[in-house]
Amino acid sequence: MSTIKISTRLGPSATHSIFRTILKALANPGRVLELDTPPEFPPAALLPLVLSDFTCTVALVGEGAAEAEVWLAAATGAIMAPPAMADQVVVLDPTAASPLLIEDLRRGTSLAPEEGARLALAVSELESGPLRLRLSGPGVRNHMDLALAGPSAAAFSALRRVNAAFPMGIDTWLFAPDGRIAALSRSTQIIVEDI
Amino acid sequence: MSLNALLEDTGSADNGYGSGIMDEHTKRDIRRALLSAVAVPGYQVPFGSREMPVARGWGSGGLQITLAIVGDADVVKVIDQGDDAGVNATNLRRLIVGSTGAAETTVTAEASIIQTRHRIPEEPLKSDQILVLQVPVPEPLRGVERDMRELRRMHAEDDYARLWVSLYEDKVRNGVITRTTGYPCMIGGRYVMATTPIPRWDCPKLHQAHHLSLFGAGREKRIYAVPPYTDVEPVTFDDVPFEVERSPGRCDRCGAVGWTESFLIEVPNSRTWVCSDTDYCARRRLKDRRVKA
Amino acid sequence: MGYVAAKGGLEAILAAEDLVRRSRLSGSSPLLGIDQLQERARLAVDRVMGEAGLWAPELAARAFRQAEGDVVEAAHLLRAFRTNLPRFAMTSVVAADEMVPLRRIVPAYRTPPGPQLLGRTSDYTGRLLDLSPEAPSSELEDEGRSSNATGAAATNGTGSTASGNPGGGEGGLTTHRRLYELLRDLDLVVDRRRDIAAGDDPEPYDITRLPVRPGVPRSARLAVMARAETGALVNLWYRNILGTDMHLHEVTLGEVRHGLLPLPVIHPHTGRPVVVGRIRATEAEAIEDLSGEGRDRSRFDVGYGVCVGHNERKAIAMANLDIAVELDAGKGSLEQTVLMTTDALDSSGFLEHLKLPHYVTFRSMVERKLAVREAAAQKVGDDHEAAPMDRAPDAVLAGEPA
Repeated sequence: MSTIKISTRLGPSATHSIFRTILKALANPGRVLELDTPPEFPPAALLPLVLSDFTCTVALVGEGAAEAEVWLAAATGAIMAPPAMADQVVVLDPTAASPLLIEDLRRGTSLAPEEGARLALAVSELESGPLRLRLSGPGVRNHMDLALAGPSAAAFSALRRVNAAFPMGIDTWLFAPDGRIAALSRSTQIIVEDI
Repeated sequence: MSLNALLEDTGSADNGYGSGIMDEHTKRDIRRALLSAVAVPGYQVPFGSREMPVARGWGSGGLQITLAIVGDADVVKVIDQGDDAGVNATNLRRLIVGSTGAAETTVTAEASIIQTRHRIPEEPLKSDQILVLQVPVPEPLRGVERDMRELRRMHAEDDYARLWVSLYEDKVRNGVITRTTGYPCMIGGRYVMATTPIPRWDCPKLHQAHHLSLFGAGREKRIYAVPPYTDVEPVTFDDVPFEVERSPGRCDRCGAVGWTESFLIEVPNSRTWVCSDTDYCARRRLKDRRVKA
Repeated sequence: MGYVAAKGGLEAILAAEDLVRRSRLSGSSPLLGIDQLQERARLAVDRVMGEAGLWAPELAARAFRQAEGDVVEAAHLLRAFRTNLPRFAMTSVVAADEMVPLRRIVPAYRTPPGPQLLGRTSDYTGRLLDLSPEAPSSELEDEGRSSNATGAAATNGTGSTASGNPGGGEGGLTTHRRLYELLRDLDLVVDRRRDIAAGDDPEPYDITRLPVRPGVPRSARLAVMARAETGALVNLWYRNILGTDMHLHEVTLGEVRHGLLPLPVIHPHTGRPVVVGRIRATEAEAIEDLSGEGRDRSRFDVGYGVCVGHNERKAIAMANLDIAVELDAGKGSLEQTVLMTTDALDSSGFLEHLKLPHYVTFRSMVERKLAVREAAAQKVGDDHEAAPMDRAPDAVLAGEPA
């Protein structure tokens, strides 16, 4: 077993504060915020930890997924599912974010766009790194640049393709190991620059 | 048992389901709907609206949103018609503050969450403020279509032709567009949204705003949102400018100009006007006094 | 400032609450006991439970008393209380056949399988206002012991098959086959049974956690009606009989039952079902002639109604509307009407919100009236041969100025 115990079940107050940051990040795509994350805890897994319950399906991908599944299910009651079927998908390891995986995620329908998946994507750095995303759209004043490292440029190109048919699409939160977080709404226009 | 006693009772119970009048499971449910709403601006997200200790139609949707987002660090302001002292505002404020750790204020600039019915404060909101609007009727197209399946299709297919036709007919028949409050607006160029029954005066305040606006319709079980910096365009024709209510007078108390500064309400048969936003009015008077002193 | 209507702030609200509380608690007669309400106002308490969607006789009686007899208000109190309760467990699905009837009638046959058990009903009693002094309860108890009034309520020759004494409580734990089964045996009903072996047995739709809209499964529709306002269902049924909607024909009732249903829960340790309690419920079957286009005229279809407590009007209206929605099959708007307009909290809440201040919206409406007038005047000024304005109210654009 890992050092992460079922006691990672968060209290109402911690859950609330993380949710507010997640909400603020999505309302302001590209804006980098800070989360107070527990040590030894994969920050990307915070998304399902604060959002899911026994009515939700969750998929975990990447290194450490198997053990994280166990405590996440215990802490939230969420049902584990393959990425293509999950409400929330956590990519614990930046290199596991393949274009194939992203294109496979649920996008909802024009009748029910809320059925699109929420993606929590681990990155190795936010606000620095070789990738630059130029963002615009709702929540972004004019446009803004977000630098990051970890996932491939191809992953963000895939995200761009997936979100081309708005309102269908997926909403993405980027979690850095130091607790920094930023989001990309499905409504966010992305231009990917690899420096 | 009085309401206050009931709130104290449930508020003190730490049974793992949180405290107060909304359990943690419900909060998660509403939080997920809120994220969907923010992700798809103007789209009405269905959610499992719960019964609240206020009647459906009395702000139960706004209340559910506020309870799902409010925390100990928040400062909450509640207004009805722009007035903090309105009976419904007072009742909702005491429910929110009494069942959570949040503080209360009437000062717009001090609030982190403002729950409102029928108004947006005159003072522009900042990016760290959240506006929660109570919505009685979330469907902007109900005037042209009643069937819910058809309404759903119209939104899904971006088919707003009948709304345009109805506005055209209105203009031709009446000389002006007669839609009053809750004027339909195009959000982010994609979804037509009901702007709650805020007056048309308030619609421009949603356009490219600094703040996040969350709309809750408890009875109809819908949540929708306008993120900051999002286009909110009243549905009208290029050659028919959108008109807001302008009052031909000044506030009797603070002197605010009804034509350009403030949404005024009339004292019948007296040609006297006052601000509907009581905090705005009070602040202006305070400033006046300071300037004179 | 005298203008701002309905303004009063916290002190006025507290004063109003105090007035309600004091008036409720004062008066010359003794306070109504919860036990009294449960015993003497049984049908009101049952109705509160039914419209709240919660079996809790004591709490429902308390809510009824707090609401000064306002059933909708009491149902609201109970639902708002229930909504925040943790769910410790779900009951297993209960077959309605397991109901132990306290009352059961089958209008469709003179001698159905099982008894015609009148039970506790005043259906066949003249509606005469009883002005005679009420007998003290001790005398009634004596009377009950000697003649066993409840057991004698079975009729029709088959009455003797009413094994035991259903009114007497746990002694009569007898269930009966329902008429639907008989019709199936006779191959007289359209069989819509699900193929459970093939996994076609979806969980019931939980309307307390998921919103409903047209297109939801039948279980959602039934759940909505089970906690709908009784008067709303009765009215909706009647307007389909006599109004212009006309979704219903002459329906024959199969079963009308009031009885006890067990609540089995899977024990967390043993994994076996344990009956944790019983609730009273009313159920009804409505046998409908399938006269629509493409329908099987050689068979019937059956609508179903069930609700918490003893409320036959509601169960019967529900069964009728259930089959009516099935027959309408999305052609009309009946499904939407049933799903969206029958909830007491929704309709009453929205109606009552009209009492809230609306002066901002009203000011906006007045402004438009003046704008229309101004536009008309301008037009007259601009155009010498001005035609009279078409001032017909524009229903399409009226919208909801709520």
